[in-house]
Amino acid sequence: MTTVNGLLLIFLLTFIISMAIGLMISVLGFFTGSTPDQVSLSQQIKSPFVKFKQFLDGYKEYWHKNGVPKNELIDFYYGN
Amino acid sequence: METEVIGKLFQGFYTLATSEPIIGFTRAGLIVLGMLLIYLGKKGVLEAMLMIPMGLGMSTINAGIMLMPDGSHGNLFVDPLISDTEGLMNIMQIDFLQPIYTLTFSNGLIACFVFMGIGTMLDVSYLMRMPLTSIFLAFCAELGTFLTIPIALAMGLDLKESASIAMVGGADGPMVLFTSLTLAKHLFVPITVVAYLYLGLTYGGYPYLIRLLVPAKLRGIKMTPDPNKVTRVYSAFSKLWLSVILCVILSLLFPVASPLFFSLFIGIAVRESGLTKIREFIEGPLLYGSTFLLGLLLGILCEAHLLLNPKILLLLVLGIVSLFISGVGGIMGGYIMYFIKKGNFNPTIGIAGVSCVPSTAKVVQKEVSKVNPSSLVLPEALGANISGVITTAIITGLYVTLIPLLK
Repeated sequence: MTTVNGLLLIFLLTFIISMAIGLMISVLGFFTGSTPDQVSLSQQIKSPFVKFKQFLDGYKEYWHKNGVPKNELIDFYYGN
Repeated sequence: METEVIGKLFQGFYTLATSEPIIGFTRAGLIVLGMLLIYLGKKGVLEAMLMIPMGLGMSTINAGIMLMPDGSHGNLFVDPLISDTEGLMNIMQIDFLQPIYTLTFSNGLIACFVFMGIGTMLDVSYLMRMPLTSIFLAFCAELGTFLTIPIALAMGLDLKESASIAMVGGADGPMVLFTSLTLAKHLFVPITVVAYLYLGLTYGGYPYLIRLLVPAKLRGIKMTPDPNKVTRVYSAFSKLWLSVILCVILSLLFPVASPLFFSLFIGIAVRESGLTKIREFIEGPLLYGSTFLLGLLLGILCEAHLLLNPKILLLLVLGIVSLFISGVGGIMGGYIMYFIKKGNFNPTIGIAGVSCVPSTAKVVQKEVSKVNPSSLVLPEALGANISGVITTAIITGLYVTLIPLLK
């Protein structure tokens, strides 16, 4: 590969990889970031990840409340 | 006879008087330059933490040249040019800084320690709030890293040397050290010295560049948050995972630069994991100790014999050209964002993409505050600053991998 082509390739690759990483951070930030609730400052609108965790907790509680014996495996993976 | 005896008694003066005129004058000049660096460090024009040990090291090494048993001139500090194992083992028992140079400096360990310290100081939430803008600014602020290569080639350096000196434009000391060690080991000492000398200058020089390129009216812009866009808050957990994922992906892309990626991201991971004692150790004793030893070694390496390379003048010119172009590129990026965001962006932030963490971000806030004390741009500037580290690491990986393949 000639020097000029190589340097152009490096320039392009830097741009592409940098912006791809920026995009990846955006996606990660979108899924893990929580937004402060504009109505109640003490509350936060939880990120999709936190919502999913809350759903699992609620699901586990539902089972226990309905007389299903505690499942050690569920408790191990989803916390006590 | 008597003169020779007196000369051997006061060997510093004797070697200064009996060496070749060019060496003698350079030694005298470097002694004065060392003192000047101490003065400028104390005055706050240059980074005192680096300049005080560097300045004193520079003055002392050039004063403390003595007659060696074989009649040649030498010192009892360090011999950076020794390469054979037996000679190295012998010199390690004589030169007091040789173990530190060999075991931490020439293998890049000290650069990694500094990077770990920088990692513990980085709050990546600034980057996570506006990643694409930050990364774009950082990319623009790498202009010097790209454009210096053709300039250096035109001035007679070969491609590997050109890429090594061009890295000064990335304003990341450890990256310059790493690139020059890999691509141009014979110029490793002068390039590293030039790089760190100029990195100290960003603190003193960039404010003038900002004032030159950004009119006061634009410098004072106070950015207002977009009412349609909610500000996200990031937990330590998400920042930890960001650092883990970025570290793995970048290491998969550029294994050759993975020691640096690892060092940076382990610092962030320690910070976000709440490992308080380890964080205190890294950002305290480890970082300060490494910075001190780095400054000391850089000063000691400024010995006249080592710096009297015919290419040193070229390196001095190209280093400052590279940093200057990067600064201009950063501000250009700032202007592009200013137009994209229809005036709701302070173009000064662009120069913070030059990744001299956190100096350039501090310089930006300082210059903005002078014009408009109510304008807070530090979070955005830090985002660009952190992105600068990432883009410089990407370029380091690309240079180290691809430059040797080019003809």
